[in-house]
Amino acid sequence: MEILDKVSGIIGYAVIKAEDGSIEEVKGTSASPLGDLAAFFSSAGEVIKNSLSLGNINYVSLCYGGNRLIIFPYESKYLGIEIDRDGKPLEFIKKIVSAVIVETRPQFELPRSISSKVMQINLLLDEFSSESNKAHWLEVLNQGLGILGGEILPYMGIIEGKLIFKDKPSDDKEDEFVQGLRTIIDFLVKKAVEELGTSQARVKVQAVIEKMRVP
Amino acid sequence: MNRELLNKYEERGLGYPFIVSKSGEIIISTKGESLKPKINQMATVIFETIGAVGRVEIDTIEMIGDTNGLIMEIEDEKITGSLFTSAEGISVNDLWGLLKELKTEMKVVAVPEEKPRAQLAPDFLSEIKAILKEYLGDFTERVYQNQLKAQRINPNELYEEDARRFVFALGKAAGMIIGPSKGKDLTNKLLTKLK
Repeated sequence: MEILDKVSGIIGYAVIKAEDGSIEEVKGTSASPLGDLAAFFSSAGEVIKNSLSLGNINYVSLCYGGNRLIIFPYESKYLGIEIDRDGKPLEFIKKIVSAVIVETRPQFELPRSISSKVMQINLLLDEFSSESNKAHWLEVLNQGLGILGGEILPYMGIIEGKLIFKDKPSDDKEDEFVQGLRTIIDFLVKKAVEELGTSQARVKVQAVIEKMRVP
Repeated sequence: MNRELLNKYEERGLGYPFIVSKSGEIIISTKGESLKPKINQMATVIFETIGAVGRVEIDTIEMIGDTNGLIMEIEDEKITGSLFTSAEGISVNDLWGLLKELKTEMKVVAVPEEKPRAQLAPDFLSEIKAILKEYLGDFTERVYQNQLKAQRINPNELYEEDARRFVFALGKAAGMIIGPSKGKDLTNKLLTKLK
């Protein structure tokens, strides 16, 4: 469900087929097994709703560490959405349902300091990966976001192989976000040095710098 | 004593409060007596589901239907929760507030046999961070802060079990940057600080 990639605040998500509980899709930067969590707890919800007469399940919400997983039925599926622990389940469900209905991305302009870092990350991904291993580098990026992203995480998503901002961060967060993106860049470069060797990584980083100079 | 406490919180608006253990012992408010077998069955499903998922430390569950709702605080061997009517105007947040109050009061009333938890010295975290820096360099601050938040560590009140969880989370996160074997090496080094 690509639309979920565009909704801000989502760290990761899983789509479960309601009829047999199988995992259809898992995406995002979560370090938790979202597919298993959503699959197991949606079926537990089915059992419990019958025994305790809960009626139709609006949502199941689980908290662990600093995160919250909201599982809710949508058409013939269950969606499991991981957000920040302090997020409100009903607000998120409304946000997602309305995003699915409208299916448009909110238009906003990112501060130049942030957009240039995002551009740099996307160019580095293109340079480091060849046709055959783009998925691998996206996985590396996801890993980096997962361990280093922190507060940036709910604002970011990957659509069609590109890192995007799903929402505009508040002005007072700009420096923090730039610093966070810089760390992600350092992480990607470190991984490139490990995988491609110092000299090849340097050539590729230089190529990105050249591309960024082009107005 | 616990049942009286549950009745008291039920009067304050917390629907059918209950405490159910993994071994099947259950205490529920007087009004909820007939629900005992069903609550027990529900708790078995929850414990088994948590066991099936394994490594995720789930501490609260909210299950909201259009007729009734459930809120639960999960511990290793026990669930404390409430089964309430999902009527319009019910604030789940308020119910969580009551449940937390109930748990606090329960702790005051009972469980004197619980072993006192070992609190660590305030400089423990700075020692951890210094070791982390040896392995992660410039990545240290972000990894440290992110894991502090992810593991919900309170630096001003750090207990041994929290520190252990934090150490393993740091080792795992670091492993993704410096490789799993160095990550393990870091975990072992950090664990020596706990001994």
